[in-house]
Amino acid sequence: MSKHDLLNSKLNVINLGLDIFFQSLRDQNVNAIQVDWSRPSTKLDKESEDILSKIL
Amino acid sequence: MHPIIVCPIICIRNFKNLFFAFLDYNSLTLNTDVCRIDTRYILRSQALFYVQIRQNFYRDSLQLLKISDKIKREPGINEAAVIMGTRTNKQILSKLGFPEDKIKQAKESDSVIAIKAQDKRSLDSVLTRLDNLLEGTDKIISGTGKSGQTLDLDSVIISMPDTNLALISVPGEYVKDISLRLIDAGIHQQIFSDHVPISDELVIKKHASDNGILILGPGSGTSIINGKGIGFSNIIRNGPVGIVAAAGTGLQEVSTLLDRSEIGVKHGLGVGGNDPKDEIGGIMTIESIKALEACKDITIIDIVSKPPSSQVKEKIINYILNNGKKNYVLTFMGTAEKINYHVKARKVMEVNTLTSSVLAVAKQLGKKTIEEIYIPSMTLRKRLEKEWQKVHKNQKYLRALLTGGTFTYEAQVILNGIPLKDIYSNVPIVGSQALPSTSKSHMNSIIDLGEEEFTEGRAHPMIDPTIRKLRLLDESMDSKVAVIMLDFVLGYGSNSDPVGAIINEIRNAKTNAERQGRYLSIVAYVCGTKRDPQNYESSVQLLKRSGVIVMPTNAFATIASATIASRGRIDLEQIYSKYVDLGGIIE
Repeated sequence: MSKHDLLNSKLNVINLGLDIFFQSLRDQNVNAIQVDWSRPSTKLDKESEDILSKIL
Repeated sequence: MHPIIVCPIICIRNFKNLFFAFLDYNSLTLNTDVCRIDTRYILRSQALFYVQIRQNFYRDSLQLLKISDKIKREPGINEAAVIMGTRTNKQILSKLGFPEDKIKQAKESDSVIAIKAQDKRSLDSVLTRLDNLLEGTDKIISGTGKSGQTLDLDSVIISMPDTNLALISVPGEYVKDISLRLIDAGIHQQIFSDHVPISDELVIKKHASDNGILILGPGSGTSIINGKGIGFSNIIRNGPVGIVAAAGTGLQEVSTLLDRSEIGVKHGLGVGGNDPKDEIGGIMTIESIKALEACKDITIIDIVSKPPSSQVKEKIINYILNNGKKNYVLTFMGTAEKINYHVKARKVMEVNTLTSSVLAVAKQLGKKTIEEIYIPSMTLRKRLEKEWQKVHKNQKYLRALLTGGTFTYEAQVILNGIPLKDIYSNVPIVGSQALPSTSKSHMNSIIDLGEEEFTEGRAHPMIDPTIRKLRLLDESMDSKVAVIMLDFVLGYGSNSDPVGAIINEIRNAKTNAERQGRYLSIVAYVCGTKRDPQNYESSVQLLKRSGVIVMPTNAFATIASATIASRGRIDLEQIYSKYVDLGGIIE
């Protein structure tokens, strides 16, 4: 089991993505943090990732 | 920004009776690698139409909508749309009167800035600040935490050990990596993102199940946890019901109706539309049931879903019958045959619609009065009689322009059960036919405007009403249409005034019909509660004052629309017994 009981604990939320959801959580006085996520510049295919991880 | 030198060429010509002035600013090229700005002014009917294309300029559709709304609020601006250059968006701009030859140059990766201004001064005032407006949204994601700082994911996992839920709305291809990291950190998740490969979803859900983590979604826009709305959600009173939903608007409908029935909801968990399919096998439906079973404040669990695969349905029912301790309502839409299982002094009921779902919960709780969400059949017939008498006999068809996917599904379930003939949809269920073209209705058409063909590169119609406004006016010009059905979804995440945003078009649609000697009936349903950020009561009253028939649920709106379209020639008693069964509560 998770160390966190979601349904019987006070909500502590992190929001990755649309800030409209972050704002609505804040409007309801929910503890919330906006995570600074940005689209990775290049997404490598699995094969390339494997090759790179062996080289590096 | 480099200075821009422009060479205006002005020509004026008559085009039929329309005053048509054409001011062509030469194509301009900014000295930058990624951004070519191409501008043109066209003056039609004393309004100035301006189009600018920014190549390879990507912003999230909600960010672009915010910019559009800001520009629209500027003095002297009649219309503004800052949108990606998708096919649908280009069609919309063309319908709004922007020059087609210019718009068609935009590619899907380009942003189109289209502004309709009263005069050049107003337009110039906006254009001078346009770059600042766009630059202000340069980050894909923005926002601040309590401390006023944005934080990266690894920092949050380490520095905030009390985090128990992550709300994820990043593009689907990136979800798996993030989700697995969060599972390993012991954090439950609601995943709003669409387009998560189903193979990724299975990996995520299996790993989560092994670690006691709840995954709500992908494609889950709505949850309620301890009375707090997560994502697109309403403000719902606390109550004894727990909901597991594989249907986003379905959860909003059931929870708002439970609120308006003064029953309330403790938790509502949206597991995503794929969960009841064979590929996922209902993993999170079962995990969510387990979590709600462990909640002492819950006495009834309501499962809401489009029909699961037969194997998953059997798995869910077997789990409930063998392991459940609470009462249940199973809302697998359109599949119930009035089955009531009686197991060890508790009840498991199956129903066909979202309205019946709430009526069944009320019945289990012994609640006597639920007038807020129910209209007796005789009352409905009497109320609609005057309406269908105004409709000419040549007006035969129903057109439902809906924003809720589950509402579209439920409407088709009921219409097929009536049965209404010739039902077409862009998302046909068994019994309906696929529309030849989703941009044009045919006979009885039930349209989900939230489907991908309408939302690619633009915000969902629950937020941006433009696409429905145009479609509504189109439908009003069809002399065969008797009734148009609309849904309005209130709550967090939706438009700040969804009814007010389209009320002029509703009035204009009725006027269009009147000018052609017809009466056009419009039936609406407002999904929301009296405590939602938008004003529920004033939304309903505004619709009524505009001549709209307002129904208490989506199922009733569907039945009312079909009654008007058929000029009263449907068997209401039979329809009620299948789709809004009261089970002896009032009648």
